[in-house]
Amino acid sequence: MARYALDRFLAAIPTLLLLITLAFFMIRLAPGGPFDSERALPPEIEANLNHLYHLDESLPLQYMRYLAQIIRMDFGPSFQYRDWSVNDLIASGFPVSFTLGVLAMLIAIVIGGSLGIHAAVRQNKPDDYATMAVAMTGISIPTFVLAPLLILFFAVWLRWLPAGGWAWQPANMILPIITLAMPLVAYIARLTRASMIEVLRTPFIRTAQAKGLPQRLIIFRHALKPAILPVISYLGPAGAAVITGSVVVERIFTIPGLGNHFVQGALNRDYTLVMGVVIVYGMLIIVFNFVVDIIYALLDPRIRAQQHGGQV
Amino acid sequence: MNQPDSAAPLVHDSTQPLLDIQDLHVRFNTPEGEVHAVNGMNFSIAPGEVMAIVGESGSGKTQTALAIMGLLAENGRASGRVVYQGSNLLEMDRRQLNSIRGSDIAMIFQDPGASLNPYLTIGRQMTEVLVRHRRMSQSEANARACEMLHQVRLTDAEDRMRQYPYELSGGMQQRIMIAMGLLCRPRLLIADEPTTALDVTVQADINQLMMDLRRQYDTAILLITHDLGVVAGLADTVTVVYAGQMMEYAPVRDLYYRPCHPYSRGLVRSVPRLDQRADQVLRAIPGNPPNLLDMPSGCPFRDRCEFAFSDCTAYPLMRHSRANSLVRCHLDSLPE
Repeated sequence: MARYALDRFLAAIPTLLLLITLAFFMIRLAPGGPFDSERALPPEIEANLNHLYHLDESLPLQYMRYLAQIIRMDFGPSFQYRDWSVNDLIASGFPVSFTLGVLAMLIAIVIGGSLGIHAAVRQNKPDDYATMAVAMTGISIPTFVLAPLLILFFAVWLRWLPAGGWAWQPANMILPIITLAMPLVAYIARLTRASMIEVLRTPFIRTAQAKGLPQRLIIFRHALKPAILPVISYLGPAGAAVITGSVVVERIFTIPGLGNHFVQGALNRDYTLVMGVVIVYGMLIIVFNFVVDIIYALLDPRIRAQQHGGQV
Repeated sequence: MNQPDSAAPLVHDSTQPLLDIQDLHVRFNTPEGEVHAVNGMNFSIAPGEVMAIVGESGSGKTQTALAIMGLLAENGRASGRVVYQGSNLLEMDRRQLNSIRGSDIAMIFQDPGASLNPYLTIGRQMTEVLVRHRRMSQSEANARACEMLHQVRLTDAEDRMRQYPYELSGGMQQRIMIAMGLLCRPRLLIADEPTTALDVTVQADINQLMMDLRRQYDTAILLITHDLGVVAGLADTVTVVYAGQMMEYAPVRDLYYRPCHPYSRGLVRSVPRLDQRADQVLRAIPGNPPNLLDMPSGCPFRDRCEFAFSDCTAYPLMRHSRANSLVRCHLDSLPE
């Protein structure tokens, strides 16, 4: 397993390098620069600023300089928030986004999984149709529509929850988490249902029934592991979906997380901030996919054997 | 078809039958229409008896077994009576059925590789039967399962318990299925083509093993197969099925040496024999079984039967051909 982890880690380096390169040149392709504003700065000041942040150097040189900086885990100063380094901004935003994202995913797995199993066991009965109708709705409503609707109901009309803001309190988290989790719940429910139905038709489930095991035991001991495998594979893309979702959700609920920094950074042409957030996102997704593979191996003994270099 | 049979249900010796199947029908609802997979099976199995159900693919033999176990696919319905210890298994709810399945009546399947759960260890899959039906503790169950693995002649039983199915060969997997089936000392073991998916050399071992265990445990066996060669060595009695109907029922020797139904004789003659000359052609039965969606009236075999005559448009009833044999044919005796 250690060997496998090392291989995966080494394979991640070129991926990250490619990501950094693409992001670096793309953000500079966008028109405008970090110090453009309504009122043009005097040329000397702008030249000084550009010199200070090495923006007057050639692009390849800037790129090499940036890579050298990244290797030291230094994301540089923010171009907009003058007193903040990008490291500081990420350190303050990351815990917020991470908490929201992880909670949304956990909730999505538990609720989506349960709904999917329930629907599969009652295949083609009213429960099943109801669950799948709700799931379809969940998938169809975009985050940027769902969030304002939730605010309208629970914050404006019912006044149960704040419409936005952040104070590390459950009240602040509920609506953003629901918004983030909703499409995932729906997707995971559909995925679990489909794979559970398939597993329940396999010969080994018939064997379990022939052994006189109760339905509950058959579902949870015999069918759940194979049925949940496609859901586990989906967690990689789901992690990415949560990150994308958080960009919208944090804007709408005015949450000081990474997603908000990312949007602000992009609008302000805050090159270093955007790059920093992109790299963190990239690393998160790589780590996430690695964790998914580990979980996969824990569930499927045949894959476990492969990773140990054994024959299957 | 579908007329009730006049012949009395078979009673084996004087003992009470272990399992008595009366007018069993199995139907499947499919988009193409209703498939009549099993049409009026009547047979009983005595304690300790080995009975074979023989027929070609799609003759309804597997569906008969699945109906007994309550394991039909969602779109399948069984009607008739499957009487075990005075009660009809077909009328039981899942909970009642679960107290019998795996405990009194066990079943092993054709493809052991697919029939064992790939995600659970052998030990887990075996012991759960004992924990469930015999209320054993995990350690008692472990010991008993290990002992059972020895009895099906698997080496390194303790290691096997910790292994996963993919780590074992097909023959070993089927031994484990048999061991699992016999854990609770069932009174009836239903074996659905237990050796079909295995190598020929392994087939003989598995058959031998089943016979040894049958003597040791005094378990009746309902053996489902298309291989008459297997039947010869194992079974006491044979039921030949065709298009979901019983064509002939006879003690195994009678069926081999003096088959009464043209279909049975066709099956017997299509088995290669050692004393046959190498250049002699195997006799196949021409034609195909009838469409189960739209069964012709009269004898289902008549289109393929070399002796078909005018009476065959009427459905033949099951009648005694010899004292303890039954046949469904209008012919009084089979011409040479």
